Amino acid sequence: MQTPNSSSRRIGALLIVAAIALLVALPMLVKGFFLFQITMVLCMALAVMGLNIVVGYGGQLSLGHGAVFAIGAYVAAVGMDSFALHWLPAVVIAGLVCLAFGVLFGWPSLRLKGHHLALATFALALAMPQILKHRSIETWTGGVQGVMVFNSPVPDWLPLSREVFVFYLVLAVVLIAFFGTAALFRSRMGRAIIAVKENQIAAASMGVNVTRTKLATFALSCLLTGLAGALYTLITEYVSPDSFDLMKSILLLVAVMVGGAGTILGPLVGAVFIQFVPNLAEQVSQSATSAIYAGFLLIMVFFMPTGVVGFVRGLLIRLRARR
Amino acid sequence: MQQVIQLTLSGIAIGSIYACLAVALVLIYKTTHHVNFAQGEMATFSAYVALFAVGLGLPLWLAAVVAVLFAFVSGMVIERVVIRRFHSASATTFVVACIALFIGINSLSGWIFGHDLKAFPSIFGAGTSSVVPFLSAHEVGSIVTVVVIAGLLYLFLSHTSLGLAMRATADNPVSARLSGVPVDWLLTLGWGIAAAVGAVAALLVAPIVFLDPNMMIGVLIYAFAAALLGGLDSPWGAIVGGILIGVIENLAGAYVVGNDMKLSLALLIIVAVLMLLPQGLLGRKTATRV
Amino acid sequence: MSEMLLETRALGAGYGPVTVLRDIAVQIPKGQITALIGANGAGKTTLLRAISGLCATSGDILFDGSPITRLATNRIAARGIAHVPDGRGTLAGLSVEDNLLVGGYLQRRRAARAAGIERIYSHFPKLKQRRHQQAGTLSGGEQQMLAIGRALMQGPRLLMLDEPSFGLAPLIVRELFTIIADINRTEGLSILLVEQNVHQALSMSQRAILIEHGQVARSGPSAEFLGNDDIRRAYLGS
Ligand SMILES: Nc1ncnc2c1ncn2[C@@H]1O[C@H](COP(=O)(O)OP(=O)(O)O)[C@@H](O)[C@H]1O
Ligand SMILES: [Mg+2]
Repeated sequence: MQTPNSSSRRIGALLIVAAIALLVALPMLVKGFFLFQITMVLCMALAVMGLNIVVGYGGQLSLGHGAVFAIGAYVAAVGMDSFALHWLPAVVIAGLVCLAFGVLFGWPSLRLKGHHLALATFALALAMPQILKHRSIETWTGGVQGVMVFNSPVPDWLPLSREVFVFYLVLAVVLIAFFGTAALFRSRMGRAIIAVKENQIAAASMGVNVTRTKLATFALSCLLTGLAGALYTLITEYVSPDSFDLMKSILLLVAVMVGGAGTILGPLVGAVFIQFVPNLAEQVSQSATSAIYAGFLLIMVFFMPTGVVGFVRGLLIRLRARR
Repeated sequence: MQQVIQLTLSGIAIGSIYACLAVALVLIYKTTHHVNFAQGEMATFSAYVALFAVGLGLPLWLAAVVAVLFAFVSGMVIERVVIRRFHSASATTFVVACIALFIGINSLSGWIFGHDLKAFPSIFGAGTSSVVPFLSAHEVGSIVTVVVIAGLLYLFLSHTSLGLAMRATADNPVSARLSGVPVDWLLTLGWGIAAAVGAVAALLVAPIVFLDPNMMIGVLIYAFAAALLGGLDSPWGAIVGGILIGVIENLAGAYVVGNDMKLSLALLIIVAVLMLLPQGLLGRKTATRV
Repeated sequence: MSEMLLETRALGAGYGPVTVLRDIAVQIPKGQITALIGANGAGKTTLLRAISGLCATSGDILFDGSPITRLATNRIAARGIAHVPDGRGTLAGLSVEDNLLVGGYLQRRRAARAAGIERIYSHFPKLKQRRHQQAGTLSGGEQQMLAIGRALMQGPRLLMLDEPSFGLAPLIVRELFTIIADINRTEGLSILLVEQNVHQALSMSQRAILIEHGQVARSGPSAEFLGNDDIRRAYLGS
């Protein structure tokens, strides 16, 4: 592997600064539905970042992150609706609940080998809509109806529209998560996570607590995906059980794989993909979206195991080597 | 009391169907140590093929045979074209490939045959059975079918040299190869057989729940639970597990959790089995001395 | 037809990016025991795996004059090469008899398989006592005998044994080598024997090949190896 030299790193940094500047200026440039879509892309990118931590860095498979997303979304919605919470504590509590869920579900599951974890999380994803509809929690979750959230999150002193405020909020959380995870994977903790992925036995012999590291990976991943769910509630002002079905989990997995498992930028690319493919595909047929996802998943596992980001990076390295 | 008996009997019937799909999963797990998440969707597609054949004017039983043969061949083709390259891949990569097949075949079913619910006749007729009280002819037929499949499987695995080669492939593929067993071909054959057994499950499910592209997703999760409960590498365990799960589902659905929580019940069973009984009831614990 | 049963020409082999064997040219004569010796990690196992088509190779391998280099492992077995891998390769979950039947997979006729099994039992009576036992529960020596039995069931023309004495008690080892020598003598079966116990290997074989760092360092009659001072110092500890 070639490490990027300092000049290309500087170019990369410039690009990131430019991208951030563009995003910050975006509400002045675009409005309405397109801004909503970009907000959704960022929100999904956050959810995909969460799953990417498990799949790309942890080397484990979760088919149930759609369910974690659902928990985040519902906790925030119920918090704001039934308990009249301000959006900020609602979002924070949603994140913490998902973190706790990650620990509770991960603690028994992570001792399982790859397939077993996939099975357990697959079942979780399938069961989640039923659980959300259940009679015993209907007073809060509204059963099949779901929950509408009618409070405006914009503080009085800010002269922003709801859409623009939520956009900046999501952007801020995504940036924090983005740089936070980037820093994490350069830290001791991050190296431990990668060591566990590469070789558990070797990692254990180097003094890494494998179980605890896996658990931390899973919990952190649930935190990010759960926060994304909470932000989703702020964006759409409405949650319903059937929008968090198995397909949601599969969608997140598609995004991880297409963007590039184990890459920092991958989730962004993947989120753009899953946000815009349905728009294009549904003009062809109701089934086309899934067919395209299936095709891309196969292309990724066959030819581009590191996704679009890994592929482009490889291309750049080869180009530079030729010069 | 009568209701308990009735629920138990119909639990055995529905459990037989879970057992079928679980056997398919186990056949593949045993030879490749991978779980085929696309098993249910492959089966659904085969059920559509049966309905299509009926539409062409074939009698139902012949359409069913056509569907099972179709499943057998397409299972082998899928193994050759897609799965082959992932046999030695990590579990993660393999499952991602399976998920691709899952949504691919699911959307193909919808694309070709439509998303609406379709009524699907039972090969065993619509009436009640004259043999067993409380049960319909279809339910009795389901139980008989799984018994026949178990018998055929037993004959194949224990009394044919191809079956022996299959067991050798599952046990130690390198040694099997060194002994002249065409392991690659047997893996292909295994996918064909699994797909055929899975198609039988779909033909048994469709008359109960109507045929639609997502028909097998719920059944798949029960089959997972059944296979895990029985022990992922034991076909006999899968059958025992399937029937147990069917009975548990019926009784718990009626008396404990309610019928609207059946998928959550499956989740609960899966997590409980993984925690408390990771080997399953009949899973293999080989004592190896060196 | 040549005197040589198996011949490699400019054979290279390795695992992925790792090259282990370079430019191997060896000849295995018919009807004899050929010892393959060398330090741990020299590449002996890799050579057997290359012959059986279990790892990537370059160059040529001729068996009885015809190339087998690009054949699949099961086809190579069908040509008449039986390979008892290191670690014995027991089919642990199958019964002893099923293990032997797997060895007889290439024998289409049921009667031929039954006769083969009886022949194996006459070489290894212990296996007959344990015929219905799960193979994974056998002792190490019994598993080795079972592995050799499984290989013999193929009715091979070349038997390749990878460290059959590994991890076995001396008494068992002696019994094992007596049987191996016996099979070679009575049935004229050609054997390629990889062995850590160099003295044992040289004294029971007619020819020997020494591999060092993935290359053939020396080959010739075993008696010459035994008489050579360098070999004695390096491999026989005297
Ligand atoms: N699967 C493998 N992948 C990579 N290298 C291997 C593998 N197996 C063996 N090697 C390497 O090949 C060399 C030769 O190994 P081997 O043929 O097993 O030696 P021997 O049998 O003579 O002890 C060793 O350096 C070993 O590390
Ligand atoms: Mg060796």
